[in-house]
Amino acid sequence: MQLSQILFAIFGTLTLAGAITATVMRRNIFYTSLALAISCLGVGGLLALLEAWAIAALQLIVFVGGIAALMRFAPPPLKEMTRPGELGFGQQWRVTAVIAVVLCGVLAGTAISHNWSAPPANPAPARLSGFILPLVAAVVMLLVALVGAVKIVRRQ
Amino acid sequence: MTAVPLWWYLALAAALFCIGLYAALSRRNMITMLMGIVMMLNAVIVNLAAFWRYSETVAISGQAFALFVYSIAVAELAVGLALSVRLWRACTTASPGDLDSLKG
Repeated sequence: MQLSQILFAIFGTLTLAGAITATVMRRNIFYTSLALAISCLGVGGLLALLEAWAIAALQLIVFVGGIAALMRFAPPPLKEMTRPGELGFGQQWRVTAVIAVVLCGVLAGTAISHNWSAPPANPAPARLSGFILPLVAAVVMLLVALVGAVKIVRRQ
Repeated sequence: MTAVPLWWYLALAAALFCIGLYAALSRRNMITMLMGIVMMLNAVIVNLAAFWRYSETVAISGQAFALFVYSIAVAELAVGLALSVRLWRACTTASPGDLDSLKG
C-alpha cells in the first residue's frame, strides 16, 4: 500500500467517524461539535492530499476554526437550545435512514462503476483572475447576510 | 497521488453527503440540522476538488466553485443560527416541528 493510500485511509476514517459521531450523539452539544470539527479536519486533510492548498486552508479556517468553534463555545441561547433533552431524533428517523442508505448506494455505485481517467502529474497553480466579479459578488452577499444575522439576533 | 483512484474520493463524498442528509432530516434540533448541512457542503467540496485534480487542472473552476460554496455556507449558517436564537427567544423551542401555528 502506498503512502497516499494510507493517508487517504486515515483522513477518510477521521471524516466519516466524526460525521457519524456528530449525527448520532445526543449527550452534549460540546461533544457533537467536537466530532464535527474532527470530520472537517479530515476533509481538510483530503483536500491537502488532492493538492488543493487554498481550499484546504479555507476549510481549516472557516469550518474547523470558525463554525465548529462557535458551536463549541456556544453563547447562552445556543446552550439553552442544545440541552440534552433537546437533541433527540424525530419520528421519521427509520425512513430517513433507509433513504440515506439507498442514496449512498446509488451515488457510490455510479462512482465505482465508471471508468475514470488518471490525473495529470502536476497540478497547475491556482489563478483566480477570471473569477474576480463572482468573488466580489460572493463577498457582498456574505456581508449582507452577516449584517442581517446581527440585526435578527439583536434585542430590540 | 496517482495511487488513489478518483472513485475513492467520490464514494467517500457520497457517504459523507448521505450522513449529513440523515442528520439534517432526522434530528429535531435546528443546530444539529445545521451541522448536517455542513457535512453535506463538505462532501460537495471534496467532490469539486477531486474532479478538479483528476481533470485538466489548468481550468481552476473547481476550486473557484469551492470558494463560492464556502461563502454560501458561512452566510447560510450565520442566518440559520440567528433565526434559531430568535425563535428560541420567541417560542422557547429549537425544533422546527413545533412551529405549526400556520397549520390548518
